[in-house]
Amino acid sequence: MISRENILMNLGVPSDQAEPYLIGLIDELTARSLSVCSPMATCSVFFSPTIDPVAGVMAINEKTFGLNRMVAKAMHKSTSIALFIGTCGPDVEALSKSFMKKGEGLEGFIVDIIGSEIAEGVADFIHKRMEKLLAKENLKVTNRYSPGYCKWPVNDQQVLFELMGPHNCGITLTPSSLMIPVKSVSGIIGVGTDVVNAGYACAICDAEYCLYRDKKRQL
Amino acid sequence: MNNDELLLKLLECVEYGKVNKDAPYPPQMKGQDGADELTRQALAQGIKPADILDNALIKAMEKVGQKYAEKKIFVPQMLVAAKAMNTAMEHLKPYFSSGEVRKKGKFIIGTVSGDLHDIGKNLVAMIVEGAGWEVIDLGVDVGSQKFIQSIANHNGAVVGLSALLTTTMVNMKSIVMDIKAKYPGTRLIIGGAPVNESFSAEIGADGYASDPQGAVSYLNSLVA
Ligand code: B1M
Repeated sequence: MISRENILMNLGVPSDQAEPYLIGLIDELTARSLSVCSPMATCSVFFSPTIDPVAGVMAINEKTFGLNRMVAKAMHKSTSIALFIGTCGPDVEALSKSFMKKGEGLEGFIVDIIGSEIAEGVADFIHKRMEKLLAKENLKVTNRYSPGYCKWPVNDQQVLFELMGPHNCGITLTPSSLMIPVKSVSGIIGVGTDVVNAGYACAICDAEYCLYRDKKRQL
Repeated sequence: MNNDELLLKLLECVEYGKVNKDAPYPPQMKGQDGADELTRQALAQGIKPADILDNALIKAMEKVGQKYAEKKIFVPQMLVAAKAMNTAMEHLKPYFSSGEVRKKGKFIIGTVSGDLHDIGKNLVAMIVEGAGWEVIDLGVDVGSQKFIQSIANHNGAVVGLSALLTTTMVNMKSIVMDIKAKYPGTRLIIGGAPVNESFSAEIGADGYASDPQGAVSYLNSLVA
């Protein structure tokens, strides 16, 4: 699940120039992080969403998301919407901080990246699992989108968490709508017979100005 | 080893990130004394702390910065060099307190209000410290008042603001305004993935850096 290549990329090191020492350290810290992490995820499916791709909004149980047009368009043909929340748990973050505190910046940075990879891996797991299970019922899934991505305002995390109720993996939101523990991901996945998982999102995103457009590190 | 040889060896340890004798990195220096032992030895041998700082440690970090700019090394090597530098600096601490040697200046850094991202800010703090600055790290979710209070406690400090979200970068503007209103002479630099040079100019900051080395270059330009 944790790829050495991704870690090197996030460290800014070309993989053909990684020293054996660094590779060894990455492997050691990956094992250590995996031994302390507590990945967890929750997912709820809501039927009959109202989606307006022109206005760029979606309503579920009378709660409205300001998805923006691009995400709304991707969700548009969904007959139900899965909301998910996933986390790596607090301990990898704590491990990174403890390295930083000791002045071990490299170790702290590597563990931080591993924490992000685990959180993203949890979201990936939910996505793939849903895709596999739903395929048995001839249903397909869309790309997954997160509040904060592709011009979808991050404060819609408040709406998402309201709809998830107590099923929040113990994650709390700050007033600025960020999740604690930090290494957490939230989002939506559309479900239907007529939806597509378009894969790489930059290709269909209309946020021309986006700083992260076509960056390989895009999550 | 005579004084010159010792300083040269210390410079090499910091440049290549050899922290101490037990440190396994870099492999070509395995088993040799590192920045820790050599700084102690230099002081014991009577080399002035200011010479150790100027002729070994600072020079080493300048070389590191240069190699990073030329893409000959990457962030990991910069971080181990900063660790070796900070290990050596621990031995110089008493001389900083006594005023015999001085850091280049003070740098207050924090991630702005509403934002919890700290890894980028931490890397900047670590590398700026390694470049010979005293760093006051205020943490994450820092508002105007906390910055202003810290400036009051650290006269003449340069202030660095970090943000990772487009939703929180906007908070930089009010923080810059509040700081400039209270302490107009304070130099402010901003950084973080969503910001750039023109945003920095737009909000009235004095500088922008895209990475830790950029922050070091900006700070060093103020004391050059
Ligand atoms: C003072 O002088 C200076 C000078 C230089 C300075 C400086 C100060 N400060 C920084 N620098 C500079 O030096 C540093 C070292 O080179 C650099 O610091 P950085 O902080 O930029 O770099 C770090 C060392 C490494 N960079 C990072 O760690 C961030 C990388 C990206 C890919 C990223 C990651 C890894 C993650 N994320 Co998320 N994430 C993204 C990021 C997209 C990107 N490509 O940047 C971003 C920031 N995330 C985003 C979002 C939306 C989210 N993320 C989320 C989650 C995650 C992960 C958990 C998967 C993971 C960890 C995040 C973390 N905080 O630990 C969610 C929020 C989490 C939470 N707690 O609430 C969530 C809200 C999504 C969701 N709903 O689940 C986006 C924000 C969009 C916006 N509106 O701004 C985002 C831009 C991705 C995107 N494609 O849109 C420079 O900028």
